[in-house]
Amino acid sequence: MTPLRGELVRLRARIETDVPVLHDELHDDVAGESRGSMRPWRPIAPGGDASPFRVREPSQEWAAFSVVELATGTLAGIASLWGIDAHNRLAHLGVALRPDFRGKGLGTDVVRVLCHYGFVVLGLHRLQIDTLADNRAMITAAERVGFTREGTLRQMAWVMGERLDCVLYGMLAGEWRT
Amino acid sequence: MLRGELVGLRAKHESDTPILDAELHDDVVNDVRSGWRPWRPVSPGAEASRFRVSEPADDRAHFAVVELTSGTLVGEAQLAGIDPHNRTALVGLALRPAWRGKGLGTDIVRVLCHYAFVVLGLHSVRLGTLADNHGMIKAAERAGFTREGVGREVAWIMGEHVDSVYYGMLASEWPA
Repeated sequence: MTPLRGELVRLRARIETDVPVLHDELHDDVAGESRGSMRPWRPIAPGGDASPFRVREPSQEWAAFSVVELATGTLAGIASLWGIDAHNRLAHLGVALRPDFRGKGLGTDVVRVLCHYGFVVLGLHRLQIDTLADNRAMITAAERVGFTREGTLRQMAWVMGERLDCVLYGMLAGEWRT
Repeated sequence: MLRGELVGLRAKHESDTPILDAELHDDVVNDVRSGWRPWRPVSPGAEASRFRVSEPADDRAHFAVVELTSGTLVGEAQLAGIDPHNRTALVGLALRPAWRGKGLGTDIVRVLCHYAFVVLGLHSVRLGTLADNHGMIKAAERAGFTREGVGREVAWIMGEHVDSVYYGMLASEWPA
């Protein structure tokens, strides 16, 4: 039984059949992908090596998961720990849900499972969420799980014609309760 | 060379590297506090020296800092993580021990802002440092940066978890 399971979702490795679905619903949504990545959107062929959702070998610096909704067994999105820093024992969290799986509370559950992975499995000291200041879904998830708002980077991001602020949230291992 | 009131920023020369290696890298506490990385022994002349002369790159600009009146090497400065899409970058600097506490840091930060906003056309710059690095914090505040946040216990520094602070400046706030 996988330990990476919450109340609504479980996290597993990416598999090939996830890739076209994620590419179509997440990458090809130009505004959504621009907001999520804070990088310039570019046309990328599905199945190519440049696809952000391709199946990759594991790395010391990130852990890329697919999110599965427990109730239906359906692929619901992606979740990741990135920028894993073994010296300072910290990492950043990322979540993106397929459009049909938003607004159902899955994000909060995904963040909790990522915290379990970061603090319990990896033994990290600090987890951080960096998101756009108007990303209510991610901010709600961060606050429900108990992250502390630590700062606002003013006009940090260029997103679809606008300058947007980024907010930082952090949680320490001592604040995490399963 | 980019000129401030007290310092000039120029490309690094081969003759700078051994001085910066000896006075900045080989001081373990200084290097850990500035890099937030595990200190490792690096042999003189090794590729791993972060003060070696390197080719120009689109995502970073590394400078040697000299005192204008004497031309003496006083430290190093850099714009890192230059992001042409969001038009932002990080500023950083380190002074040789004998040149600290003289107000050079503020002047270096100002010259880096000039480079970022005027030469490169960036929209914002950020500066992150340990919450107890009073020299860097003073330089940021004197140069007109705004405190934007804290990273609680973000760095492992010589046996303890230490907070960082984040400062930012927008192009519209420059010159402060």
